[in-house]
Amino acid sequence: MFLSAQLKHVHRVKGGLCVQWKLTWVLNRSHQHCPPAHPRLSHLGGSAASYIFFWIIMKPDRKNRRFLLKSGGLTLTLPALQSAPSAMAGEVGKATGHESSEGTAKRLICVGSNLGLYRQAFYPKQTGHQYETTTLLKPLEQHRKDFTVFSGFDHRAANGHRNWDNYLCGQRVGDVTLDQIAAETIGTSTRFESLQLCAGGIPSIQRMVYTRGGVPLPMINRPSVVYRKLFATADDRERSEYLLKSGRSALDLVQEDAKQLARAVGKDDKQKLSEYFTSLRELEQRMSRQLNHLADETVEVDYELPAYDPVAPTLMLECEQIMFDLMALALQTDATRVATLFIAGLGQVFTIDGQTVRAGYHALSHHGNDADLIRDLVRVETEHMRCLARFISQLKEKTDADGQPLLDTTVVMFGTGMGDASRHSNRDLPTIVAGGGLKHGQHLAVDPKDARGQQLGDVFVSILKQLGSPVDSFSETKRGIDAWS
Amino acid sequence: MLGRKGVFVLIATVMFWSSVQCWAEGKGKRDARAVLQEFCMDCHDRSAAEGDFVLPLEASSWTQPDAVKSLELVHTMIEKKIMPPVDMDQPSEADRRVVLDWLDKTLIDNSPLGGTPLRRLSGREYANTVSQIFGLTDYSLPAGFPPDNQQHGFDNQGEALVIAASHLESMADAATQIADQFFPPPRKTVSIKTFDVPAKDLVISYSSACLIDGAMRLASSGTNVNRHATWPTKFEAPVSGRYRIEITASSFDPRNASKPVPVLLVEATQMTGDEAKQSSLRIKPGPKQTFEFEIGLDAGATIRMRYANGPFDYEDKAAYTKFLETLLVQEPEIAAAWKKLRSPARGGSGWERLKEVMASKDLDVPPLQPGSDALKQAVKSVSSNAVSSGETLVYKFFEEGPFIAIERLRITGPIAQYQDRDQQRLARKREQFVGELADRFDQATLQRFLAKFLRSTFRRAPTQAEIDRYTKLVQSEHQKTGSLDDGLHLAVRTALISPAFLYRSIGPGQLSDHELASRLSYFLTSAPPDETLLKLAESGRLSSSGELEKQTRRLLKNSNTFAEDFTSQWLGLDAVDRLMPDARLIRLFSNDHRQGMRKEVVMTFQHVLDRNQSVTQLIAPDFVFTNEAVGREIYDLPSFKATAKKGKQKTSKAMKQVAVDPEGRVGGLLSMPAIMMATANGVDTQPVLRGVWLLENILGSPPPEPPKAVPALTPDTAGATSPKARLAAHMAEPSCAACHREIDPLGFVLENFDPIGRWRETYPVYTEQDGKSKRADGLPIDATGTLPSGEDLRDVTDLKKYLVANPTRFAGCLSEKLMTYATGRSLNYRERQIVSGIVVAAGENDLKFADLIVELVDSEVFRTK
Repeated sequence: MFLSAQLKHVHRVKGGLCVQWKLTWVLNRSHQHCPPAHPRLSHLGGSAASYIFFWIIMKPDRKNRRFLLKSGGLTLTLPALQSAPSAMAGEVGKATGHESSEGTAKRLICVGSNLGLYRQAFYPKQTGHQYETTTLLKPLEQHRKDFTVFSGFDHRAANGHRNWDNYLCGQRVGDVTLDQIAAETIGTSTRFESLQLCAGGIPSIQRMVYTRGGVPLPMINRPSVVYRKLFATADDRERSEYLLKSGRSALDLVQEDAKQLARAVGKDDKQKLSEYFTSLRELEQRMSRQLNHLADETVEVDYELPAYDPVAPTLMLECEQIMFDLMALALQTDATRVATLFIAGLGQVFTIDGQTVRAGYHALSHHGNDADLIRDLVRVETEHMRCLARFISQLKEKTDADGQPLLDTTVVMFGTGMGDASRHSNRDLPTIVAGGGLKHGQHLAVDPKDARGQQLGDVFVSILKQLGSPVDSFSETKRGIDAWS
Repeated sequence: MLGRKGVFVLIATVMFWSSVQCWAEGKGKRDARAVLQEFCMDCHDRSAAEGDFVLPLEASSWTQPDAVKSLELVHTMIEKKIMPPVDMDQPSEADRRVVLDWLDKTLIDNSPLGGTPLRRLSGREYANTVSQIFGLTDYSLPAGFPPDNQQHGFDNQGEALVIAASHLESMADAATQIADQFFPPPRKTVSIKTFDVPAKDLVISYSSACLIDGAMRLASSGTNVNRHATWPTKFEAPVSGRYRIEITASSFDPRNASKPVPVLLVEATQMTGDEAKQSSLRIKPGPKQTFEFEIGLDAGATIRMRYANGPFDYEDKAAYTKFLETLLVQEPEIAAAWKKLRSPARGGSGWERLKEVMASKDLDVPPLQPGSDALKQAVKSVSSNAVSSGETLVYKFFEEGPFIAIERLRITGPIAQYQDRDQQRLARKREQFVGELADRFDQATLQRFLAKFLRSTFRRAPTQAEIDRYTKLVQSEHQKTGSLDDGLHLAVRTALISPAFLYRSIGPGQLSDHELASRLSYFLTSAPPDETLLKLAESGRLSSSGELEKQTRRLLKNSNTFAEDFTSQWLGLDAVDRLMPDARLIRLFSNDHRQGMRKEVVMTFQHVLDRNQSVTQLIAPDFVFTNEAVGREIYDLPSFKATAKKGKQKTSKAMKQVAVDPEGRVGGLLSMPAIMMATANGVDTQPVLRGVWLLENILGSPPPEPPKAVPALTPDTAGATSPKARLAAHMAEPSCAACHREIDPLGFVLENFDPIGRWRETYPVYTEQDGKSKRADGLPIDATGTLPSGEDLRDVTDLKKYLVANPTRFAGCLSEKLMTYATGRSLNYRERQIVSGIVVAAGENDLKFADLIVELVDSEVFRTK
C-alpha cells in the first residue's frame, strides 16, 4: 500500500522567480517515517549530497524564510544559524532570556575524555536502581540519586582516530554537536553563546564541538585566558572596548563599500550581496551585545588562579580541576549556559596522592590487559571522577537567581567518543548524565550489538527535550530515554 | 525597450509559432514535445510532479535558469535511458533521437554563457591573498577560521561560498590579528621577579625523568624533547627578555668517575637569534653544585634541560642496538628476565617486574657472549619495540646511574626586556608597509599610501570616493586617539572585511580586464594578480588573445601551487590524510606512505604540464614518481626490491622517477595508490564508489543524483558468493538498475587494487588467532567490466587502452573540471559543447596539456562572468 498526500504552493515573487515546495507524507510498506538516504548522499560528502539550505526573501513580511531547494551536486551549509533567533529577538543586547523556552533545564555541560574510561571499572554489574557501585563510580557515590549511568550506548559510528569526534556529533563527524544545538535555545541571552575548554594539550586531531556549518570551534586550554574572558581585567576591557567601538566605524565604512558594489553587480548577484548585508547587520548586533555586557559591572568572583598556567603535561589533572571550577563560576555568573570540556590524553605522567605514576597516560590506555597498567589507568580515571564529583557538589551549593541549586537546572554529561582506547573502538561509550531535573539514580544498559537498540542519540534527544529545544531527533534517532519521561 | 505588454505579445507569438511548428513537423516525423508529452508528462506535469520534478515543456519558462537546468536533466535521463523507468512504456530509438536532438538545440539556444555568482575568497585564497598583500610569507589562517563548503568537488565555487555573521566575525578577528602585527598594541612593563622551582615542579613526559629523593633525575639522551627533557611546569617568561638562571644539580656514575663528565644542556624553548644562549653545564660526579648564568627567553618561553651525553638513546636504532649489546653481555639476567616476561610493561612498572624476576632464584641466566647468535636474538627481542623497551630500561638508570639529578632552579627576571626576533621582524615590516608615511603624514601622503594599499587589497585601482572614505576613517581615528597607528590599524581591519576585498567575479557579462586578471591569477596560483597582471589590466591589454596566452604560460611556468591545489580537489586526495588503513592491511602506515602517494599525483601532473605533453600521459605514462615506502610496499616495484635488504636503517623519503610499461597496470591516474585509497575507506573497497568516481572524474559522464527517497538497499544476498554477486542485487530493483547498470560494471575494473592501492588477485580472508589476525586468500578478484558505451573490459589495462584510443573522452572531462575550478560554476550544456569543441580541435594537435589550458583560458566560457 502506497499512500501519498501532497500539498503544494506556487509562489510568484518579484522578478518572476517561481518557487514551489510541497510537503509529502509517505506511508510505505515498511512504515518507515524517515526513509534512509541513498548511501551516496552521505558517502561522498560534499560532492554528492543534493539538498541544500537556501535563504530566500519571500515577502517583506516573511523575512529569511529558510527552506529546502533541490539543486545538483551541492552541499551548502550556513554557519551560525544559531544567531538567527537572537538577531530576530528584537532589542539588541537586552537579554530576554529567550522566554519561549519551556525547558525544565537551562544549562548544559558536556565533558569528553579523549581516552575514554576503563569500562570494566566503570560499569556496574547490575542494572536499575539497586546497582552495586564500582571503582570509578565510588567518588560519585554521594551524588548517587543525582545521576544516571549508561552502558552500551553509542552512535553506531565507524572506528578510527578521527572518529572520537562522534561523541557529540553522532554518526557523522562534522555534524552539529549536541551542545551547539542546545545553545540555539538556551545560549542566546548570555554574553557567550557557548564556551569550549580543554584540559591538557589541545589535540591536533580530535575536535569536540562543531557548529551547524560544520565549523570545529577552537578550544582554550589556559585557565588564565578563560578567566580573562569571563572576568576581564580593566586593561583587557579597555582594549576590547576600543576594538569593538572602532570596529563599528569599520562596519559603517564597508557598508558604503558594499553599496558601491551593489551598483556594479547584476540582478542575480544582488541576492548574493544581501547575504553580506545580513551578515554585516548581525555582526553589528553581536558587537553591540558584547559592548553592552562590557559596560556591566565587573563580576567579582572569589576565586584565585595559580600564578602559572597549568599547561605542562604533568599538570593536566590540576588544569582539569581548575577548568571545572571555572565552568561552575561561568554558570553562576550567567556568563554562559553552555560549556564543553575536553580532557586530553597524551604522554602525561601524573603524580597522584604524592605518588608519581610510572608511565604516561597514553601508554596506560594501551594497556593490552596488563594488570599494573590498568591499575594506574584507573587511578588516573578516578581523578577525573573526583573532579566531576566536586563539580556536582559545587552545582548543588551554588544557586541561580531564584535561589534554586544550579544542578536542578543544569544537565551535566561526562562521556567520550572512545569506547575502548586499547583498541581504538568507538563502540559502547561509557556515559554519565547528572542533574537537570531528570529522574536519576539508575544504571541503564543496552546491548551495543543490538542493531535496533537505543543509541546515545536517544540520550541526547531527551536532554534536548529537557532543555526546551525544539529539535526532537539526533543522528536519525528520536526515541529518547523512557526512564526519563 | 519592451513594456509588460510587449513581453506578453512576444510570448504569445512564440507560443503560437511553436504550435504551428509542432503541427507542421507532426506531418513528417514525430514532434519531440509530443513524445515527451506521451512518455513523461503523466508523472512529471505540474500536478503529479513525481520525484519533485516538473518537466518544463512550455517555451515561455526557458528564460528561467531552473527550467533550463531541468531540461539538461531530461537530456541526461533520456540519453542514459534512466527515464522513462523500465517498468513503463518506452519510446522507440527514433523517438529518443528526436527528443535528444530537440533538447540539444533548445538547450544551446536557451543556455546563457557564464553566470558565476559573486565569488567570495575561499579560506585558502584568503590566506594566500593576505600573505601576498602584506608580505607575510608564513601566514596561515587562525585556528577556528570557518572551513568552506564544497561544491562540484571544489572549494572555490561561487554558489557554495556563502557568508554568514560568523564568517564575517572570524574575518574581522583575523584582520585585527593582522593589523596587530604591523601596529601592535602598547607593550606592558613588567617588574623583576624571582621564581623558585623545586624539583617536583619539573615536567616528567613519557619516561623523560623521574623524581627520586627530592631531585629530578635524567638518564636518557636524544633530540626528542618530549621523551628526554624536563622543564619547569609553572614558569613561563612573562615578557621577552633576559633572565638569570641558577641551577643546583649533581651527577652520579656507578662505573667510573673519570668517564666523560655528564653535561646538562640548558636551552630556551624558543630560540631568538643572538639573545638566546644555550648553556652546557659540566656536572662532575659528587656533591651538589650550583651554576649561574643568563639566558634570553621570548615571552611564553621557558628553559628546557637535557642530559647531553647520557648512557643511551633508545630512539637512535643503531646506537641503541650497540648499547644493548654491551648491556646484555654485562647483565645477562636482564635478557633472561625479558624473555621470561615476554615483553614487560612500558615504563616504571615494567622495570619493577623485571627486577622481581631477576631477583628470583629459579631464573635461568645463560651467559651471553659478544657476537653470539643468542646475544643477537636477545638484543632483537628487547629492541623490537625500541620506544617501549627504552621507556622501561631508563628506570634502571634513574635508579643506578649514570644520571643527572636536578635539585632546584631559581629564575630571576626580566633583567632586561628586548624585542624578540618576531618583534624586530615586524618593526621592519611596519616600516616597509607605511613607507614615507613614517616621516610625513600629511593628507597627500596618506592618500598616496591608501591608494597603493587599496589597489593591492581590491585588486584594482580604488575610486577616488573609496580613497576619500578611507582617508576620513584614518584621520578621524587619528584625531580621536592621537595615534596615526590606530588610524592605520583601523584601515587595515576595515579593508579586509570590505566586499571589494572579499568578492571577485563582479559585474555581468564579459569580464573586465581586472576581473580577468583575478580569474586567471586565482585559477593558476590561488593568489591575487601580481604587479604584471595588474598593470596589464590597467592598460586594458590583458584581454587580447596574444597577451592572455603569454600570461597564462608565464603563470603556469611559475606557479608551484596549481598542480597541487587542483589535483587534490579534483581527485579528492584529502582523504589520504584522513584515512587510517586497517592494521591488517599494512602494519605501519607511515607519513612516508601518505607523502609519497600524494606527491606522486602532483609530480605526474606537473611533469606532463611542464613538458606540454599529451593529457593521455596522465592515463598511461611510461613512468611513475614514487618514494621508497610506496615503491616497495605498495607498488612492489622491482627496482625497490634491492633496498629491502637488511642493514639499511632508514628508508629514503626522496621521490624517484621509475620507468614502467605504459601498457601495464602500473602508472597513471587509474593505478595511483593515492586515488585508490581516496576511493576506498581504509578497510575494504566499494566498487560502486569507484564506479561513480570513474564516471565523474575520468569519463565525464556523471550519473545523476540519486533520488533521496530510495530506501537503503537490503538485498537478499543469501545465495551471493562474491561482491559481484552481491551487487547484482542492485539490478533486480528497477529504480536502482537504471543508474547502477552503468556504475557497477565499471567499478569492478578497479577491484584489483586494495584499499591502499596494492595489486591483489584475491579477496583477503582474515582469521583471528591469539589476538593476532592472519590473512588467507579468499575468492579470486573478478575485474571484468563494461563501459557505458558497451565495450567489455578485462581489467584496468583495458580501460587505460580505451582511454588512450579515445583521448577526447578523458580530455573533455579534465577540461570541464579545469573550467569548473577556474570559473567557480558548473558549466551548462552550451558551455560544455563549447569546451568539447575546444578539446576536439586540440585533439588534432595531440591534446598537449599546456596548449589545451591556453585554449580554454581564451574561450568565451572563461572570459564570461
